[in-house]
Amino acid sequence: MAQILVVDDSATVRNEVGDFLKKNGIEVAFAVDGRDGLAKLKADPKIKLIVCDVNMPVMDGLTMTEKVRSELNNNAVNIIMLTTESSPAMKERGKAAGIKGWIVKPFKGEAVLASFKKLLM
Amino acid sequence: MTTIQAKESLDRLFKQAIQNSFQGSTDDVVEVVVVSDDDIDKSNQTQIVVITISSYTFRFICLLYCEPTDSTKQYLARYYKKESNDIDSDSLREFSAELTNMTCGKFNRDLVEYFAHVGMSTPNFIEYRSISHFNKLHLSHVKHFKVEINQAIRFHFSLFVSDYANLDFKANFAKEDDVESGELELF
Repeated sequence: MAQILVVDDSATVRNEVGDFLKKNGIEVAFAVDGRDGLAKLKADPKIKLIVCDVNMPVMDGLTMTEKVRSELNNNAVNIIMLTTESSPAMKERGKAAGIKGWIVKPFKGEAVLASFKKLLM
Repeated sequence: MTTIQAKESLDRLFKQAIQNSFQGSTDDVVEVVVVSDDDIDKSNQTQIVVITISSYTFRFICLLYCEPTDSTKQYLARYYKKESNDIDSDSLREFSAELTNMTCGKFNRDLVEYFAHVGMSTPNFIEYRSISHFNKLHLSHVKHFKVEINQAIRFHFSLFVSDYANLDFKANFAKEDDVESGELELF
């Protein structure tokens, strides 16, 4: 049972974020795109936080977020976008879909660990 | 048509994005210079990552050329905090794709200041011989860059500009970058 689901098409980012979280005692699951993310979340209802890229093949992160809320009816899981994007329009779409936060890559684990732990409580 | 000031702005924004992503928080000496096409290694071993940034009236095609030398492998291993022996061909592809993603992500963020609707692709790989077909894309501007780290490690980038209408803007380089990477912005 994972606590955080990391959704990114880049294995480099999945490993980078996953290794950091595991070193800090957090259980992590991985998905390679939005569709995979939906399936992993459906299979593991214990997931409390999703860290998700925006630009991905098959299904992007914002579409995945909208489907988490509308199709899975899961309003409990916190979703944070980890992306190179920072356009106001994308952030607004994310907010409307119910994301909790936004991180512009690169991932700096120490800067966000305390906030992640709070969101897992 | 892409105006001269737009070409100059794009070149400088792209160069700034390259510098930004390679420099990171390291003490490396990173130098980015404009070079000719002849400076780029065209061997089959060179991995070429492609990302496009598009709007309604233009498409920017950004390429990273990564030669699989020991020095580039060691650099990427250090950049992504891996042991050198972790760098197999799959890792090299992944690392070079993510490095291109970071570079173009910064370029894309800067472009959003001037163009309301721009979208960036995910990284893909192409072969060198595909580039000769780019001239079918109504190119208005091409520029090649060499990245040299600590005078020892080299990568190359190319920027291809394809326009379908007048493209004119002047980038404001006096403006501070207000995006703090790595920080969590809570809503």
